[in-house]
Amino acid sequence: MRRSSRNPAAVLSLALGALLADAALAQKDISGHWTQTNSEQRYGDTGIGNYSGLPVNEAARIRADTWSPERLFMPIHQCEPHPAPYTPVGPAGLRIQAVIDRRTQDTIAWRMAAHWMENERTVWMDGREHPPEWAQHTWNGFSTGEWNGDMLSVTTTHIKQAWIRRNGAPQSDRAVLREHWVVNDDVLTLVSVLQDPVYLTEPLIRSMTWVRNPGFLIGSYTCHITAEVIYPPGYIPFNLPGQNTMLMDNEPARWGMPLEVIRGGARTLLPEYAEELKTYLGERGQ
Amino acid sequence: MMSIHYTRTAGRWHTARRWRTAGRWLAVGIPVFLCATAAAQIHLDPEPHIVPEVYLDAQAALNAINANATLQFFPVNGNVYLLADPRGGTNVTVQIGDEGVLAVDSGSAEHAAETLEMVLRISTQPLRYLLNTTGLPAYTGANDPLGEAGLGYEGVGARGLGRTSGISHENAMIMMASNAEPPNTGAGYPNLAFFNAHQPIFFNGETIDIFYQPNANTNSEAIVVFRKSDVISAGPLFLTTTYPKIYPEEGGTIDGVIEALNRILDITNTRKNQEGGTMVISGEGRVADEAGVAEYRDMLTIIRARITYYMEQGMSLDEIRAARPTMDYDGRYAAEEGPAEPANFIEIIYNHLLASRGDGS
Repeated sequence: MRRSSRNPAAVLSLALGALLADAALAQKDISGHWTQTNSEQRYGDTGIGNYSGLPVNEAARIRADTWSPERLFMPIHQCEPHPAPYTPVGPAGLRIQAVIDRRTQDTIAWRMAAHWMENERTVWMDGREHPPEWAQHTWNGFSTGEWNGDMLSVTTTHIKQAWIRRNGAPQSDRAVLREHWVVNDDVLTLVSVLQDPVYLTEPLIRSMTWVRNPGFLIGSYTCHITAEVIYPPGYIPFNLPGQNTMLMDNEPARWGMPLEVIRGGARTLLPEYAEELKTYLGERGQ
Repeated sequence: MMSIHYTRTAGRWHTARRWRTAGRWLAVGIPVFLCATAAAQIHLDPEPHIVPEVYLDAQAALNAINANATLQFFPVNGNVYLLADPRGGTNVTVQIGDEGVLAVDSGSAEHAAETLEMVLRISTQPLRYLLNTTGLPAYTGANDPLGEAGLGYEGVGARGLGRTSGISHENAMIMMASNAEPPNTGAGYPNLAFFNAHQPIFFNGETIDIFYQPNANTNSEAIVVFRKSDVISAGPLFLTTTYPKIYPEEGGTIDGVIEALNRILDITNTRKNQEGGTMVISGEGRVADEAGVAEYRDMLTIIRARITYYMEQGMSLDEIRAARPTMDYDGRYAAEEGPAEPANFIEIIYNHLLASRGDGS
């Protein structure tokens, strides 16, 4: 007896299978080794007092203006890695690995290791909740992710008080980071959105790009805390208000930008400000 | 011939057996070789991590204890737990073990019943010790009900006192007695107050150091160091919520708070990337590691230096307030009222500095 080819259950199973397969395909594999490209955020360090491109408020400017790079020599700060919001700015070659639950074969997390300070973080994909507010904060915070089609969207909370630029521009421990990771063939793209109610008036949006590099290896961890200078007990490096001699050291001339741009702020990031800037540069013959 | 034939036959048989054996080895060897090659090139195709079979058991047990309760236990390190209040307020540190339960601070009187219930939930052992990091009411308000929890336990307190042993610096004991109305001399009153700089005890398999920190928030503070668990309970000396609450009328000074934070940083250590390691339980807010305490210490040192600098410029208190020496930290640490409100905080530091240089009372 010939079996019917129009069995509704079989047709439904095939359709459901196709749908599930499609959904599975929408979750791309981002694992691998990735080398950072010279994208828009890889322009080198700016000088002290330069907050261009950052939507900082006045509190952030004051805090950064009184910051001292000598802080980085203190034993208590020597081996600090970059925090999650700054890590992709670099140096940040990446190794990304899936964490598999062997019972279900589900990817329950992504492990991301960045080159600088062998900095590792975990993005949980198993639907777990973020820790309570009284939990410890870490450099990388606590991250959970979900797929939006082909895009991996990650939310990170519980980040330590840190920096958004390596010149003292601060990031508070109340900041929340939202990242969107996309893989297209051998190119990995990240768009990150940092919200900080303490030091930013608008979200700080950055984008970074990596290319797949199977030969890339993360260097071994080499940081050891060493007393480089004998400091008196309780010594804290900082500058008093108005006393920072390194502040604004040639930054406007170096970048060919007006002081207002160098000092940052949300207004200087808006498209309409570009018109003002063109006028300014035109007047200077630039 | 026979032997030759036999030999040839045997040779063919041996040859065939060798091929079969070689085939078997190849069948096993090729996958092994491929696996080994893959392993050698693991950086080309990262091997997925495998989730450990055993994880989160401790958190699952805590979830059962925390069920249907407002106050919540949170694992810190070793045998030490934080009892946190999601509504805000002060933290209680709890150490558990075979010898019983030890609590550091008791929280507010308002939530005393809840605190007692949670302390009784986390262990079937009696509350043997109640340590206080300060005499401030927000940290000692539930001392009596917690102290009474030890009543009836034979030998409690290791001195046959038949009660939970209360330990604090004697200045904290005096504060509890003098500030309460009626004076607090009940079961939560520190019956083992100490007057020296350092009081160690040994409980639940570890040394617990209590270091007196003079003239900090008041003149009664102490830090409690759990050596084996690698935890410090800092009480009001370290808050992650606001500026420190300093009470000059009780002997409190900014210098004492900064000294205490420096003491904590002398004790703390970290793991890789200056993170983790010694955990510090704040008086209000969250658990932190060394970096969290360092940021707080740095902030207070910087604010004190700014006010000192403005005073050296001849500025008055009002002028210094107008200069906003705390502005870059107010968005994070300003309280709406009380000693951690910025104008009050500046005044407390200003008056202390004025008195220190002999210009004030």
